[in-house]
Amino acid sequence: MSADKEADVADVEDISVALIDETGVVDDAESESEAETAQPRGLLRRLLVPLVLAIVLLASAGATTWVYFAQYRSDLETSDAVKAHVIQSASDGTVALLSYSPDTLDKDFATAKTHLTGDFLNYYTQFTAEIVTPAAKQKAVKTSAAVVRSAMAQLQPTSAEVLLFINQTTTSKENPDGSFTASSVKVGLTKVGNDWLISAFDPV
Amino acid sequence: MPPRKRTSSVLNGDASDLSKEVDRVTNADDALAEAAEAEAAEAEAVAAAARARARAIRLRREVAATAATAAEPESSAIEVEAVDTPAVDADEDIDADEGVNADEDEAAEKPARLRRRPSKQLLLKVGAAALVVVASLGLLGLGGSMYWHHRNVEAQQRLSAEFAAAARQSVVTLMSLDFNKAEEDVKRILDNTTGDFKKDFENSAQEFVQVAQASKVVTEATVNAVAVQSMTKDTATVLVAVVTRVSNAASKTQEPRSWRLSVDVTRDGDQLKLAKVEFVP
Repeated sequence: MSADKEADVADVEDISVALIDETGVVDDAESESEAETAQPRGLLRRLLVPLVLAIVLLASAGATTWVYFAQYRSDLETSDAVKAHVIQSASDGTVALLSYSPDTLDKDFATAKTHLTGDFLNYYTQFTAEIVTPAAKQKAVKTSAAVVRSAMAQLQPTSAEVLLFINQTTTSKENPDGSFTASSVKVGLTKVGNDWLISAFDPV
Repeated sequence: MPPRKRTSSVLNGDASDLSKEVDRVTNADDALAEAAEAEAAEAEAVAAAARARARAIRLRREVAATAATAAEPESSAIEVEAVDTPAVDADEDIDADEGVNADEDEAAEKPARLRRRPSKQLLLKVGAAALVVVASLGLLGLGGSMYWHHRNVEAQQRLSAEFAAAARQSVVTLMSLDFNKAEEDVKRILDNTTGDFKKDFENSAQEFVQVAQASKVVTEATVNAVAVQSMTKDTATVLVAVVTRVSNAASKTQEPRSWRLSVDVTRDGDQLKLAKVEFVP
């Protein structure tokens, strides 16, 4: 019995020693891994993927935005559709500008002015009022213009230059059979709102 | 036992005392033994408790270790899935997880609930990651197509400028003529033309030189405007407004004359040449 007792006591002592050792080790290991390795590494691993994804998303959004504003937007503003629209505006404006008859002078000039802008509008207003109107009324001048060929010389997002070949027929009291004029005109246009208006008109 | 009582009271008493003493001693001995036994039992209980505690600690460590090793491959697998085919994998995960959860709900509610919470979080994370990846790819695709479009537009603008410059130069060459160096001028014209237009000009070139020399013609051409009306990769139709000033034997300098040309410019080898010249009436 006493031998058993001693053995038991020895067991208890061994176990308690082992217990102390084990708990000591366990405590050390846990505190170490939590405080120094597991926590930062776990945090890093948890944040790495979201961080990388966020960077990728921001980078792609930034790149796309830059491409849009630096390059693509001006492409849209100078597309083939815009080009056709600008050439049409130049042709319509030029025909309106050069076509009038003595009976409808005021209406013709008023229509022409809706195609014009800037300094050229001022010039045209003054020129038609002071020179063309008296002459046209006195001599019964009637002109009609037609665009023969047209091409875009230069197109920017808010300005353009169109080359037009124009044929113009003019009749008057003095010349009832009419005279024929062939000319080339560089028409400068400016974008005003959604409209392209003639801001320069230079025969070449 | 009467005889024992009859003997001297002292002796008897002593004897009985002795026996009592003996009894006491044996009783004490028994008590001691009992105490020892109790002590041993207590020790055994302590030992058992200690063993149980030790086992508990060992188990806890094992569980922690297996959880850590299990968590590592799982998270890396999710990363791979998110990069490869995020949408499909996310869907499959949802299906598989729902099935497992349904089974576990009946069998063991508590562990199932414990396991379900992190898997739901994981699904959310994988879904968000997949969304971000898809959005990024979409943005990059959009940006790439816009960039590609812009490169195309720039290439077209360069090509247009190239055709315009070639038309301008070719028309100046064609319409400028000095009778003093007529042969040279004609050769330069031939170098700048191609196709049927070149053949036609070759046929009349000799006559052209003779007339120029006879009338002492000097023509100066100035291009005032060019505009590309239409173009493909290798050919373009260009409008040209040109003014010529002619002087000859008859008159020193004539009034400038305007011409409206529509010319076709074509790539011939590595050079752009005139293929057609039309005077627009």
